[in-house]
Amino acid sequence: MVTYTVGQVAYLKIFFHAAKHPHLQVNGVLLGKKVSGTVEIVDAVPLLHHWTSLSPMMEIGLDLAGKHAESRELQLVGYYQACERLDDTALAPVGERVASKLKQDFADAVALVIDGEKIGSDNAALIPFMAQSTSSSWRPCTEAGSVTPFTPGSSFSLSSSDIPARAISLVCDQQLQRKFGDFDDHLEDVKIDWLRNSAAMPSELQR
Amino acid sequence: MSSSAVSLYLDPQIRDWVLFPITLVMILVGILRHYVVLLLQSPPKKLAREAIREQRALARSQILRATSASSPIPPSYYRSISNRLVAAFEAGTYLKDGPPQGDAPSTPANPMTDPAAMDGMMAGMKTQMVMMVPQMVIMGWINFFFQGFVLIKLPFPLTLGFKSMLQRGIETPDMDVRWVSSLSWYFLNFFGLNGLYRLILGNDNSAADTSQTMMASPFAAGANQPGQPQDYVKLFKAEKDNLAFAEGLYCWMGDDVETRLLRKYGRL
Amino acid sequence: MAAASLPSALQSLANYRAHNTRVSQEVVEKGKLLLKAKSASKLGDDAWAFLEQLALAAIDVAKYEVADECLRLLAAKFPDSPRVDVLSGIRMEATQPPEIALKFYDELLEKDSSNAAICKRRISVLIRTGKVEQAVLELSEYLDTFYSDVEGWVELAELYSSCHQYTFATQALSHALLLAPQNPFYVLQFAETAYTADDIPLAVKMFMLCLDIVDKHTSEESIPTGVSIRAWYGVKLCCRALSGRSCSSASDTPLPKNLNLLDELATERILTAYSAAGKDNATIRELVLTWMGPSDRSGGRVHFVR
Repeated sequence: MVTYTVGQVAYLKIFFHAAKHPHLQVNGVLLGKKVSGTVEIVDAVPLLHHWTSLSPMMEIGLDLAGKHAESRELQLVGYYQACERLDDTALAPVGERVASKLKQDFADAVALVIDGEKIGSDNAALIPFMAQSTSSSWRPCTEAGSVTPFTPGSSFSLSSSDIPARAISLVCDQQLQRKFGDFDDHLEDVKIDWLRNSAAMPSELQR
Repeated sequence: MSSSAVSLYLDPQIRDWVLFPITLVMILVGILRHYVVLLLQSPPKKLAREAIREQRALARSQILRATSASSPIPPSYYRSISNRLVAAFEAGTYLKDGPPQGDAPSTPANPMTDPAAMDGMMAGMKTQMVMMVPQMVIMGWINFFFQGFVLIKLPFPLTLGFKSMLQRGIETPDMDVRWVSSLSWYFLNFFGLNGLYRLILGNDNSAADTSQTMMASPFAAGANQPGQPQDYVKLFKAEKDNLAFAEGLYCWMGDDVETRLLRKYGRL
Repeated sequence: MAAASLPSALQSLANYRAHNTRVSQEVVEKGKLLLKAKSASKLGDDAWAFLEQLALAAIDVAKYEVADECLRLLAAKFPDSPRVDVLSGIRMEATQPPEIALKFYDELLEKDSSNAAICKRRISVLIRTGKVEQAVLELSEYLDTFYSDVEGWVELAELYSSCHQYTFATQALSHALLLAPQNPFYVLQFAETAYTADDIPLAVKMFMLCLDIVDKHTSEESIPTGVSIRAWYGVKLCCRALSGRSCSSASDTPLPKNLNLLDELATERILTAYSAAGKDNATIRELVLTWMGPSDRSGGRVHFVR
């Protein structure tokens, strides 16, 4: 069984992306690598918030993000998405397509959907989706013993348990999400560094 | 001659009890009329959704035709929209009462039978009545009490041509034109108070446009109202031909856009 | 302090109204001051527009007591206004289950079937509750009557896109284009939708049309910004997809002439944008350069349509 660890940078970026556009659907890809049975998700690249169901800019963004990952000796290991409605935690059909495409290159690809109900709590507000082996559809991850993901015993974990609380405080107190930009923003102003987003990261994580 | 004009002396009582009252009454009646008209005006009748649809159907094809010579949409899209509209106009899909049944002759709607049109006309007549009745009453009042009164003397000389205008109701061939009779004073006020009403009541008041509406008959006024009955069957038929004409003019902006773009950047 | 800042607060609130900006937090902060100062009564006719704005903003940031206060004032002044009805409907949507809001709107529509604002609210509730099919149905019916509502057509296109009906989406967008032929964003959206629908010749034409509209007032030396960068990227992507394989077009759009020249031009324009952005972007520029390189065909298409 493959296990997944979500790192701080990746979680913060997903969180900021969702916080910047609370009334829109947003999506992006996850960067990481597989080390002896554990997929470490270390970074995320935010893609779209405008027309999330249209493909051209998604294709370009995916290509560029893939090249960026290569240059950092990482791989595209998954896809993330946040919906415009709090109670909507389904993986959009577009997400399934993108995640399936990522799966062709990385067999253990995962899709994370932001759980709007939990976004204000100290728990990880992520719902992992895995591809069904029988069909091309993606389902919320069901684990042996019905363990909730991101709780002890689950195959999903955060690299440190205080990340969600930290993300909330960064958004509420420092408004870091305002400095955050995705590929859509980059296409409007090429000065925005959507691949690294170092300006939006707290100082000790800036590279 | 001139001495006789000078010798004419007006009693100040005429000023206090005739000139001022006439003016004051006219102003007050004008203001009163404004509010009565406001009371009488029924709120604009809400159209049913089908009626709005019928009214706006023409706008659709006008929008399509407006850009047909350099249309933003590609040919297949243009044709499908155009054909759909033509078919709809032909079948009468947009008509308020649905497509016409069988081959019943399409008679222009009679305003007396259509309740909506009738309402419009009634409203016009009511306003007309409010305009006319007070004026007639005032005129009767002046004619009855102050007939033949000379009210004021204008401070400037006028030619003889103004005599019939300023001395209505006084049959004196050789009185100076500068003297104004009571009935003429009424008419001067009637046409001249609009500016004052505008000042008191604001720009779109219903007291000021007396002179305009007095001229028009209630039936003519009814015909100019937006809710007039129109023969949409005929209008749609005409629009169908316009659409066919516009399709002949149709040209997509995208046809040679690459040439334009390359030329602009000096690549061609 | 409040007295001095009131005029300026009013000024900026009027500004937000004029530009339709959604800055609910600021509106509520400024509006609460005004509401407390009771200066609304001194505003004259502007007061009611301000109260409506404050109510909407307060609902947006879940300050329901402020919203209720505004609604109370508005309802007292305009007891039967459809505009106040819409506002109280939105207030209802915020805290009540969607069925109740739907029922409220249904009753209003029964009284007056031609109220566009209420039709739209009803549709938005349907979308929110995930009843996309019914929403599409009602929105089409609404647009059949109120044809000139551009935003309605764009919303319809987005609904179609979200359920992969890309051809229908382009049809809806074509109406938006007719209504607003000079708006580059609708052209861009049309182009991207056409690309997603796999009609690449049509997509490349529309991307160019978008550039044609945006570039009308710029010279050839200017640096692409905003919408035009996106459109140039689109042209580049289409050129890549078109070169080397024959593409079918559902709309029978002919292939653009001089495809190679177009490809070169797009590459050059995109790189100009990055070069002008300064040194910080050097790494991204490198990345984009390798992506655009002629030999590179690694990236495949993500087919959104099955």
